[in-house]
Amino acid sequence: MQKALAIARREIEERSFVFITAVVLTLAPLLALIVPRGTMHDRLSAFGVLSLILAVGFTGGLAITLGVSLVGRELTEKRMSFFFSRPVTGAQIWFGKLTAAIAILMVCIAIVFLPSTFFYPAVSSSWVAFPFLISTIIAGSLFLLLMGHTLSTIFRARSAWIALDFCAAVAFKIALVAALVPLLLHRAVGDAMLVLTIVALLFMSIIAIGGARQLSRGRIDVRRNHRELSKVLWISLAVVLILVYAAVLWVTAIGPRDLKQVWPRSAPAGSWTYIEGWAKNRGDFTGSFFYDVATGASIRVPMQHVWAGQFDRNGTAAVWLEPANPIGLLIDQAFSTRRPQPMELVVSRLEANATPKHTGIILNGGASFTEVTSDLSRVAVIAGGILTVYDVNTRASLASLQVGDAYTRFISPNTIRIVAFTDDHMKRAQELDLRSRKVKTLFAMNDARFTMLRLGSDDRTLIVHTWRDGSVPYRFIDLSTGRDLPAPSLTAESSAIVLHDGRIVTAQPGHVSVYSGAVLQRDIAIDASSPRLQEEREPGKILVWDTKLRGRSLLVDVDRGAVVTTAKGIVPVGPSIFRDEQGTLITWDGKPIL
Amino acid sequence: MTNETAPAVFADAVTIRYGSKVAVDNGTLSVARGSVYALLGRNGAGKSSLVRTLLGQQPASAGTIRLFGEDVWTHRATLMERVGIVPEDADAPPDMRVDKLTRFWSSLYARWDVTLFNERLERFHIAPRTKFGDLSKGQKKQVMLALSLATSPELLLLDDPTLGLDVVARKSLFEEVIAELADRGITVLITTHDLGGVETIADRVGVMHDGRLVLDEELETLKSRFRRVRFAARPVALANGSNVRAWGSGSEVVVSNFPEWNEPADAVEVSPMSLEEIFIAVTGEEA
Amino acid sequence: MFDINPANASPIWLQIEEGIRRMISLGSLGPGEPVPSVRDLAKSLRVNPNTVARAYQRLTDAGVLTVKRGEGTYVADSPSQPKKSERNEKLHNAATTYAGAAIALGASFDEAAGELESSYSRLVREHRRKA
Repeated sequence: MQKALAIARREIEERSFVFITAVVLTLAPLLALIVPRGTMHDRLSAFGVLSLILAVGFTGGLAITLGVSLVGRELTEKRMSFFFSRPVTGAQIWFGKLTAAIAILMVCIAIVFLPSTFFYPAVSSSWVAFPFLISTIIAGSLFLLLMGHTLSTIFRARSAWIALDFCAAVAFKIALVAALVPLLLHRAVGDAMLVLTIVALLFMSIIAIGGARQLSRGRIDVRRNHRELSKVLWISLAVVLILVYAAVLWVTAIGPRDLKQVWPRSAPAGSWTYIEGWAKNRGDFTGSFFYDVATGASIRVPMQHVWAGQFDRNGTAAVWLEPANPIGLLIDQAFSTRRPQPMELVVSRLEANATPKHTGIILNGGASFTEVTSDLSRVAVIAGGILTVYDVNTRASLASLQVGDAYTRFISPNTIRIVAFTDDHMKRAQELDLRSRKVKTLFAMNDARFTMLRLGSDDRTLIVHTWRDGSVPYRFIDLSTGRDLPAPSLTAESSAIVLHDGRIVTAQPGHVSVYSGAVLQRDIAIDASSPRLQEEREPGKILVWDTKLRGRSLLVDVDRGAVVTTAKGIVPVGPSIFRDEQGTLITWDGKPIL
Repeated sequence: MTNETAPAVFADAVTIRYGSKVAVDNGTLSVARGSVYALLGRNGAGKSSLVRTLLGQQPASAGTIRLFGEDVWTHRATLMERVGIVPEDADAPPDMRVDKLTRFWSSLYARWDVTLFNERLERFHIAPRTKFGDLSKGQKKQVMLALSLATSPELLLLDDPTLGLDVVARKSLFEEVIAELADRGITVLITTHDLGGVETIADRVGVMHDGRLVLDEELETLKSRFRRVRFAARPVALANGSNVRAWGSGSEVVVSNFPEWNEPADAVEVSPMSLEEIFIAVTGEEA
Repeated sequence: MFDINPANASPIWLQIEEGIRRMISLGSLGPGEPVPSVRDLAKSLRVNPNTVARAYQRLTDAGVLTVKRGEGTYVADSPSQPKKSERNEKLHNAATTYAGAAIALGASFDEAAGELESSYSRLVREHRRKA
């Protein structure tokens, strides 16, 4: 210890001119105050900026210089024998020199950054920013110091083995980036930065300690020093890589239950829902799954998918888009080039142990809407205003149609209905026959600016809802004939849906009415002042959401004419899932879904 | 052999390789405590490699080296407490002042004779505030010698100590060494080209040639067995001699086993050989 | 005092020994006088102190020098002197015999001296070989 300190003291004395340089560079920006240009305020700003720039530049340069000359110069000038002829161990020599370099660096940092701490009091007085900045400056300069030593040792050896170091460095970088890719693909940029920071700190520790071994075994020969340092460095970094991979493996190994702050989107029927959220205890790592609320089964979905569509109407299948080139996607995101990425259509049955099927159908860029048939044989894609229907098994495009903004509904594997709503003035419902490729317009409406078209659960009733004064608020069109159906007249504020069997259900404050055609079948009183109807959940059962503050949801049996259950304070987010007052996702029975 | 009786230096079948090049080939030598060993050899003969390895600064490719009975590679740090080294090229930092160098040096050793050291500095006329790099080559060696002796070493290693020294400095250096020999019975290992200088000092001599230790012998014995014999004409038969060389109108020959040698009747002159002449004969013969 | 010649066939310790003896016989070092310390003599002759020590040891063993504990080495008192005069007398007698023989054979001084020199050299050589 004492000998190491004696060595440290010698090293510091030899480099004492550095302190003078630091003081000079700290005082030099004062010249900016003397120059007769601009106001005093301008000159002060110039001083502040200049001081900061010089401080950063000097610190960086000093760190590298100290690192490079730590042992490198003496090795090349063959003066290392001066130390090894004395009764001191290699470790004492190393730690003495390293201590001196660190001490010099720290003192110089304190000197050159002193004016900045006065000049930027907002930062220096902050309990958060100041320690963070100081730590970053210190850590960064130590990193440069130790990296300088490493590179200096490797290059001064002038040995052919440099090629090995080079290959190892490249391999390490590639392996490290590869390890981070899963994190980045799950939007865990913070985690990735943390991993890089930890790896950098580990590297610094490896060199700080490995240097002692390097000197103990390498002694006066620069090539032996290189060899010993390389051995320590690459073996240690290999261990670090293994740890990184193990950590990333652990982070990525999540299940639906590991998610918090979940955003759900549930199927129109059945117990499956799509969820995504942050993983607990894993920093900013996110996950997404299809999840069966009833059984807990799940299918994992890559985070960078595009959710442009929906479940099939039975809640038994789903379709989504995944990037065909995830690395390309990451690069595009990193550089914000916003190039359209090749996206592949992926379909899956929603059942336990189902494997998503990558269809091999690649789209250039995303899509605004997708739909899959329940038997997974057909997929409809609307992208760039064009509807294309694909045969999943053959990957062939069966038909293509210009539609603008629209959504579709397969009514059979070969028949698809389209509700298009781009045009403010013209909205229409069409039917496309995939065998004949013929398009039929079933309903069209001009001057449709204040109108919304909605296809009912029976696939043939089109609800035309207008909210302009003077027009009929609700019309119900039979798409097989194109003619209005006899229907009740409703106010614009009513909420209306069509059941699977064609019956029309409306809700108004205080009651729910069931119509067959225009005939009122049943009127059910409900305790809801501002009801909103959700789509039919089970045959005959509909969900009514009371939207008032602290709203409620009610399940109404339209056949029995009764309110089946009431749940206070929960908001439906799909047929089977609700958010309670605390924001937890729960089933109708109040059980958390995860 | 206990550490107390072990020789100061013992190199056992030491081979030193740099890649495919063999600098020292299976060398064995032993330096008894209190004796003076002169290691001779041309440049490139392997002396420097051997010295660096003897000091534990580089590892031997094969064989072991012990100082005072302890392996020098593994015990270097503790052994250096007992060893003083005056290297051929002074390796002290050139920008370091002599007084700072002294303070640093003394802080590393358990023993330090400050009076003796200052006395020597004065004798050598060296101002303490001078930068080491500003000293002449001879003065540098004197400072290194003073520093080394101030720690009362048991073994003194002088690597080509007289190179670059003038006559006066050379004399004073040997005087210091002789005084140490007399006062403390130190062991001395000198490598040198200045054969005349060590001729009166060395107890034992080793000669390195092309990496091999071709000679390792007591100086007295060595000198007693070498003679230069001159003949008026060319001798017909010669027992165990060396190359016959022309000399004037006759010839001369080097005899390396003089005690057993039968002197032919026509020998004109039989004269002893200086260490330098013996060296040339030994290494020249093998060339 | 005296010089050491490394070129000489004689080992250095022998040269030192003979040097001391010569000085004593010449009277430069008297009985009971101190001889230079091993250290000082080694320094002034520029030789290994071991060599000086060896010479001094032999001289001490031969009774030419004595060691006084804690004080140093001194020339021994008297005992060697009778040996010295006896030796000189023997030498003188042998020389007279030889000179007479040479004159009787009609040799010149140079001839006689030359013969003496070669015989001396040869015998010394033989003597040392057998030593």
